[in-house]
Amino acid sequence: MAQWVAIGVLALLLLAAVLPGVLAPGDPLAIDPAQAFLSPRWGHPFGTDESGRDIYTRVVHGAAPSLVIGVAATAIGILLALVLGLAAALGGRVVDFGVSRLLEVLFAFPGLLLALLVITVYGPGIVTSTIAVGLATAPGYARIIRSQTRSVASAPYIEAAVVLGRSRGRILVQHILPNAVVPVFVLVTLGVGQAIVWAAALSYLGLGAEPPAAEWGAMLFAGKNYLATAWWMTFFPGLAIVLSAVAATVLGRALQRRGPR
Amino acid sequence: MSGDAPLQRRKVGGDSESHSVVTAETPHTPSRSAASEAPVVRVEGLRVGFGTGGRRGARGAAVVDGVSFELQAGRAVAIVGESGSGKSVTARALVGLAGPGSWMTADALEVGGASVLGSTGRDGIARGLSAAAWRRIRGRQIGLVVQDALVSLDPLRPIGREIGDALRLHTSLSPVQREVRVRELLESVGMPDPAERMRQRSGELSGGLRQRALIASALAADPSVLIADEPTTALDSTVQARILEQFESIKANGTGLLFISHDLAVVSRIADEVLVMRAGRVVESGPVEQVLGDPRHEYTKTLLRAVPTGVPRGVPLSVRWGADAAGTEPTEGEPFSTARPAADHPTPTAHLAGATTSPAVTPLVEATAVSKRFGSRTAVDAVSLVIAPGTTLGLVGESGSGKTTLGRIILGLTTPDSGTVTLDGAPWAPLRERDRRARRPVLGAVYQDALSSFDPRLTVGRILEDALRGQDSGSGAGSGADAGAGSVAGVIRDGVAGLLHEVGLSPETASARPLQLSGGQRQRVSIARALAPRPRIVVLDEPVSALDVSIQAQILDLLDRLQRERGVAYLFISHDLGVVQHMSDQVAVMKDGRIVEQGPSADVFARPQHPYTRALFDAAPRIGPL
Repeated sequence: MAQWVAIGVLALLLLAAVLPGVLAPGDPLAIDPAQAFLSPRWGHPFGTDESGRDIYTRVVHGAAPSLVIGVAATAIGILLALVLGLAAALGGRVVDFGVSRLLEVLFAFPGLLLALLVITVYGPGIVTSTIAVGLATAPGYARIIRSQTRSVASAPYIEAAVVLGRSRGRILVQHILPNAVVPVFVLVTLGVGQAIVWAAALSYLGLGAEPPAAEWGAMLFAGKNYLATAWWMTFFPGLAIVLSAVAATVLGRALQRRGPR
Repeated sequence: MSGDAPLQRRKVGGDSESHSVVTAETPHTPSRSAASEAPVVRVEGLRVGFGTGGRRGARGAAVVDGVSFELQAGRAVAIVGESGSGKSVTARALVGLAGPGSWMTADALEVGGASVLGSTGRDGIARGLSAAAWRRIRGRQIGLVVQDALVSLDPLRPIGREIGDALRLHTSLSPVQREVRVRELLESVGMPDPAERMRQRSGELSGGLRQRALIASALAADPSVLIADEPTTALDSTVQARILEQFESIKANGTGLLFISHDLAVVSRIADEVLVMRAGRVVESGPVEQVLGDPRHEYTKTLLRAVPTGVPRGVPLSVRWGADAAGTEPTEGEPFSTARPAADHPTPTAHLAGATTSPAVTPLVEATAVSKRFGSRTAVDAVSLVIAPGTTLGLVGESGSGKTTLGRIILGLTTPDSGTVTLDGAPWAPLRERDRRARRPVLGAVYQDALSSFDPRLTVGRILEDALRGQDSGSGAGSGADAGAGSVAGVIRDGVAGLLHEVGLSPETASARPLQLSGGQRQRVSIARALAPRPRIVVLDEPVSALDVSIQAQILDLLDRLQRERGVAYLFISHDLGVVQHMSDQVAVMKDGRIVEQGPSADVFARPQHPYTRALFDAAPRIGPL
């Protein structure tokens, strides 16, 4: 039941990201000072902000950057984790030692702090914040991939493949990778939700998307000064962040439960 | 674990269902001991099932359906049956441990003359004894010994403390008296060096000693009944023999013994009366001499016939095919028509039974002074052996004797520290895997745990396709006899169907996953996979140890037939002397990494030379004398 709601929310999110015009035909950047600080009402279901921009339109148009950052960051994290995790699991003792120590160092930093470090070095912006979030999530995935791969690589069915005369490469591609990596993709669904929150957090801190852009975290930042008078400016972008993160998590958990074994 | 079955239920009075199924259940007149005593356990019309099916009163099917027996002090009743027959559930119901979600009804269920059914509910089903009442019965009146002592004993506590607990709960002994008693108990179950051992944890003990500790803890409060659920199944035969002696002396001391086992030979040694269970029902019961010596029921006969001990090589053990793949298997003995005739190897019509390996035949496998150490332990110590084409070498030994390591060396999975292995006259080990790979199809392997040897993502069809494909991409070692020209995929599909047919599985099995198959079917798939590259030798490592005796008989018959048809050689690794004797032309007996005796099966079994071989043979349980 819950996963169907989650799928519905994510479908809506995807539609908003790909075809925002269908849900909100207006311009998210159109200014109309006469209409500033309107509370939610007919014509402005989520109200308007300090420049009279329609919040509903902005929330819908903000889906694309949020989703792109979330997915791209997770993809970067997984890719990096795959390289590190597989190298550690299959590369022999020395490589394993090196990679494992590196992962431990990365683990010592809280994820967001690691992301901040990257941004401090390379400057703010959507691209850097995406890469930063990806980097910050990689160590966790890498550890899971490493242990998963190790346990699969020592499974009796791998030995059975050796007895059948399979080469190392073929065993890797045919048996080890699918069995080790497929379960990780369930985690990815969970990770997307987290990445969306992190990306929003970076934007809120002014390190991701720049203020005029319709991005949920940036909208939160803009609304925080008017929290007492215009609650809708922060409430609706915040709701969008929570809903998409929760939906991704619920779906991830459902996949996890149904997953192989 | 307290594990109170919350749904202990009971039917009041004469329940027609309970009665109708009890046919053979008249209380037996004990043949040896005094019959005047009241039974320590009385069970009448016991039914146990699981699941409440949602609505109140709706229940799942009974897994124990109308079991009745009586157990007198100083006697042993054995329940025999295969997995799923309900024998363990019966035993556990007696101590209120049938399991969560279970229900129970019985006309009588008495321990020491008192009913353990508890109060009755309105729907004829009652909730059983309270947890506190059960605790007074468990340990004090009924002791329970289970198969796996390792998980039954707390790994963090010394066994002395574990046994002392039972005394603390059920007696009023002082701590000092308890310690003395624990030592006595350990002594009485034949634990060597009890004062030392009682300070050790279960993980530090061997399987046999662990089982002794568990028996001691079950006996601690001097119960009048001891339930032993497959207590020797996980043990080596020499250890098993000693544990069985222990049970005999327990029985002689006046304890009633309820013995649960799948092993007819073990049962024949210990039991006074036997109940044969199948699918929850008792199909035959009576004194052990009668049930095992002169069985009436077809199923009992099938079980007895399936025991390989003493059955000559090549004589089929299973009565009919089909218990695990109904209707699709050929009748045993029928000339077998297959799409893949074994043309490229000599196909002896009879086994080269007893034939000594003449120097004229090039040995298929020859191991010379092979050794392997793991740390300070020598697993294989200067072992030499020879396997001739088309014959079976049985490798027998107890756990830890190094037989599996030797099998792995021959398979090229473990590199020996010293010594060499040749395969078909050419070097095989030590050799780099890359140089060995092209000749891999000559060797096949079948493991004890078939399930874990399959990639969990793959269907049976994909597993076999994969095994066949590797062969084709090789140097064309295949027979080329596959019918159906055209695409490679078509040839492989036919190959899969042919293999499934050959091992007695229906073509539909191809779309199943191994997880969905029974143990016997999985082992058939495993054999099919091993045969796919048309090997000339298959290493079988305990291939039937995890199977029920009737399924074991079918698998052994299958292996025998495939050897005849394909002329494949086997290295048959097993701890079970009966199985090895039935399957082997040559036998090698392994102990502590060395082969202590080796020779033609008939000679070794008739005139064992080495003392260890003789000890092993003496310890091997066999049915009778009854």
